[in-house]
Amino acid sequence: MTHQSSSIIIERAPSPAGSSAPASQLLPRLGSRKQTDPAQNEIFKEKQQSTPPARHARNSTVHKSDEKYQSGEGARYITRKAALRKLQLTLRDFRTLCIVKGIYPREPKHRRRAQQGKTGIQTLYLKKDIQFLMHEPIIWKIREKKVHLKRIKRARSMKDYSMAKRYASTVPVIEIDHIIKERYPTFIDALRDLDDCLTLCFMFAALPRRKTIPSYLIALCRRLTLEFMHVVIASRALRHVFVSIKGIYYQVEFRGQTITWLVSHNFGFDPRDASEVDFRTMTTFVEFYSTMLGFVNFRLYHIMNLNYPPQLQGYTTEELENELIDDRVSLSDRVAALNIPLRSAGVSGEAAADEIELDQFPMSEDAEVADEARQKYEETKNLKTLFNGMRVFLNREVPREMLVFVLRCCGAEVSWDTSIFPGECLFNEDDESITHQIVDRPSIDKQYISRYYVQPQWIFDSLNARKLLPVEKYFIGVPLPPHLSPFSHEYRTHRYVPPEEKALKDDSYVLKEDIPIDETDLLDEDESPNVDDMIDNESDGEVPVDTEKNEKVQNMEVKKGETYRANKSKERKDYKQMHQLKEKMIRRKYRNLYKSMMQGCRGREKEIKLLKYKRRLHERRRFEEKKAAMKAQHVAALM
Amino acid sequence: MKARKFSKKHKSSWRKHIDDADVDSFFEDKRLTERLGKPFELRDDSELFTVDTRPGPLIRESILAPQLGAENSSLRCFQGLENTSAVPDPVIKRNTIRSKEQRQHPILKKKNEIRLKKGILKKKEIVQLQKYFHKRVSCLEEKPRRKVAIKEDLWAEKSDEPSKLSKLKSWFNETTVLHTVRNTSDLKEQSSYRPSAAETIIPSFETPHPGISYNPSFTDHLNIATEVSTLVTKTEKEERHLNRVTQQMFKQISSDKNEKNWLQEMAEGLPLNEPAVGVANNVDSDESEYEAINPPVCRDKKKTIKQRKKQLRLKQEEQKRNEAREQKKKALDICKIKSLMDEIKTEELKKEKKSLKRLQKSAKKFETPRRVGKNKFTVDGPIIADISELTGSLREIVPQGNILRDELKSLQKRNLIEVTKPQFKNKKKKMKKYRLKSHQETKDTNLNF
Repeated sequence: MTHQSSSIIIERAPSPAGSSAPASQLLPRLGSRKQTDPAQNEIFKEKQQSTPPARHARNSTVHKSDEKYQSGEGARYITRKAALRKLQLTLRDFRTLCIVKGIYPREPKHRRRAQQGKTGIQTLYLKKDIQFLMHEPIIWKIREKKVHLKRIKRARSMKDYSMAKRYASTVPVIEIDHIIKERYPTFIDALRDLDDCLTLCFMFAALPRRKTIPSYLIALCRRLTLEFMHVVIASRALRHVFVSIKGIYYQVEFRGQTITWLVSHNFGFDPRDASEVDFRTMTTFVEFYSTMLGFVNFRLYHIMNLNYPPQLQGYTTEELENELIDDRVSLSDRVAALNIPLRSAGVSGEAAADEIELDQFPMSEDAEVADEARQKYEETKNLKTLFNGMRVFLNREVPREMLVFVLRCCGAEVSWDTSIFPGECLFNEDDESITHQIVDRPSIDKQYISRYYVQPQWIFDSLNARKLLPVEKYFIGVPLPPHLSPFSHEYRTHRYVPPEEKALKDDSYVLKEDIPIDETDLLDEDESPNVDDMIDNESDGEVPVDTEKNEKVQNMEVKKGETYRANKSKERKDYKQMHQLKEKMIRRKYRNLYKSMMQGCRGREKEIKLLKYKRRLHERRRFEEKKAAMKAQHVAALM
Repeated sequence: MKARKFSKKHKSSWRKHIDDADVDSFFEDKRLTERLGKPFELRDDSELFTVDTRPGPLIRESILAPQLGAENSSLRCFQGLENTSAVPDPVIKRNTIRSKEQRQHPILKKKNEIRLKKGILKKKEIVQLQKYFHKRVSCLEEKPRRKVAIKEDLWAEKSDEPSKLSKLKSWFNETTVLHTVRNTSDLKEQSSYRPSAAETIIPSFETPHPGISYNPSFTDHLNIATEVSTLVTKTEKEERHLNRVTQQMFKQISSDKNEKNWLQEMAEGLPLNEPAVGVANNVDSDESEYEAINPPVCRDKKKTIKQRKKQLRLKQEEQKRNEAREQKKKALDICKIKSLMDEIKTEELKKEKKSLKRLQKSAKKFETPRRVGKNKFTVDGPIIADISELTGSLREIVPQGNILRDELKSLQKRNLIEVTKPQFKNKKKKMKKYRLKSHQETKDTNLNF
């Protein structure tokens, strides 16, 4: 039972009844244990848990403190220092391993107990987690690499450069593919954890070279992010865009998972201070996430039935070889241009899957939920083809990559000025078939009559609204409406909504800017028309109902018999009384809550009323002023 | 001065005392002439001078321009290796190896020169050049340190064949199985432990404030501005408070005064300043009798047997009385069962409520970052653009905030990594300072070491 006993030393568990050898005899074995499979320990540990601890069988002379922290919180946690000792790793390697394997520090319930009586705050890990780490084969790789790097260093200091070079070419590569599979057993799991991955990869792709970041990582991130953007375009998965001062937020949807990430603005980059960000930690994260993104990209391309690595439509490798230029460089440039669709290996799988028609009869009982879902589905379906048939030309001053990505995600064809990007442009500025030109300057000299000149915000707002917004609001040089966040929810609905905001959100609502003033009205001063009616027709739903009723009354034939006439005031009174009774029935527990709720409600109503009144006054004053001005003009004309 | 006599017994002693410097210098000179060639006096004019037939550039245009004839001279590091001696090669017939260029036929050489002048390149040369330039460019590219393109689907469905271990397990006893597979890789499949996720339930993507839009609505901007201003006032208040309870609590005094005070405090109670008072105190203390806090037991105060018996009797009586009272209470409590039950009920209800509250609290606990390390997590304030920067144009955005830092903070917030502080290496070595005795100042002895 040698293995069993060796595990005892590691686990520091009481010896099972089976082994008779005392712990002191077994201690020297610890050194030779290293090569044995750590997985065995776990099995035997599980076995031990089933056998009751033979605490009473121990020698009674053992000091009491030895018995402490054998179970409970004291045994559940392990300090970072102890973990390092156990794994025989340096702190840096341990940190890397934890990041890659997804082992996190913990906060115990009773810190003193978990720290085995020590006060202060130590970094604690679950003991089980550390035992789990012991199984990891890359620990051996890490050690191997350490030795290898030492060899290189030695050769260099011995000035044996040929040897150093030879060692440098054979540095062991630590592969983490199996860890990705282990951490994300299904593809959906990987998609769920893509937020951080994308934000970091996009950020690293935009970084300049620096000492702490391996240069290949930056290029790798750039390639992976471009590939991801291509697959987003191919599957039309983009749902929201939000341009903030921090960067650009994108939200995409894959297999029902929403993924949101942030991309920095591609200008005004300032190199970051090393004290602000721990670049080493971030690099470790990026190394892990880049591997993961590679696998995700591969899977996504295959789902979409596209070639991976990406190949562009209309370009074959033979063609490119014939051109006497470096094919790899030019191909990567063309991929980065984002304007040429990818070559698929057959019928697009996702596209076929998207053609599902929803059932007309909802299976669930809640019809509202089903209706909402249907509406959402229709909206997304519409969004995917929002810019279809549009040919867009980007002016020099607008950020190219972001706009090409957004436009292509909704089906537009995009081209740009040759001076911005080396990639192939589909059409030139003087092409008459261009429908829209994106401009971000106050005026432009030469304008074509056949196209709209709009500001870039029109694209984002249209995408977020899931419909093509009227271009007039976004014309060149026009002050833009605010760019609202698609992620924010309005929590306070009971509030005053000014007509301008209403018009912004609801296109069917027409803002009454100018009230027509008849010239005849100008003369008779006594009887001014009912301004209020003209200004604000925000009726509370009573007026149209009344008119309808009148019509009905007119159309009705007179019959014999008594018509039932509801006494409305009485009904109202009864209702009020009933309501009061109901209020009385509220349990004392909730009475105060109810009271405060009602009070708040009344307060808000009052506020709305007050603001409405103020608005009315303001409109009236404006009307009067205008009228007076017009009258003065009229009088002047008559004179 | 009289010449000293030396022994001339041996040949070596003859040499020792004869001045042969003139002979040595003669030979030196001879060797030098061999190395450098003939002395200048003996050379012809044609060997020393050349006749300028054409005017050349006399003065260098700038210091940066190459020296005249520099292109022909070898590198300085190799100049030491060159043979400058005029001594002829002792081996008259030596096999010299000509370089590739020297070996080339002069006609072909000239032809090539003309071709290169015209800018015509051979295909071989083009490839060579391309290789060279590609090498220069490729250092900027992603290096295939690992497999560049991923060629397998990690999540592809594989055939579910039962593992060897599970097959064995269905037939054999567990101990037998372990015995068989102990040193094989099959045992690895056994470990089914998966590390749990981090404790907090904070989402990885937190919705951005609508006020950080590059073209925000007025209310959104106002909201974020109020948020920032409240945060600033709060921190300012905290700072003021800290200042009040720390710095302002203590008076600042000069070092002289401090020293004086220190001396005074240290000398407190010593009979240096007030000898008279000290004497008087001593007199007072002598008068009062010393009394211990816990005086020793006195044998004379022992209780008598009678007293002890009485004490015991009283104690027993008291016990009896208490017992009787207890019995009576028990009898009476039977009537009070209903109220007691009520009491228990309310107590239980209270407990239940308390536990529920605790549960809710503990559930809410995980919405905030936990303390997992030495350093506490601190929140960065929201970013806000200056109103003058919000022009509504995409072209004129002034980017704010640091995405990488936010990401790091987010990771720390979710307890995926512990909060760390940047460690800067102290490059200055700690030196032990001391003064040499010879350099000590004599007058000022109050030095602060």
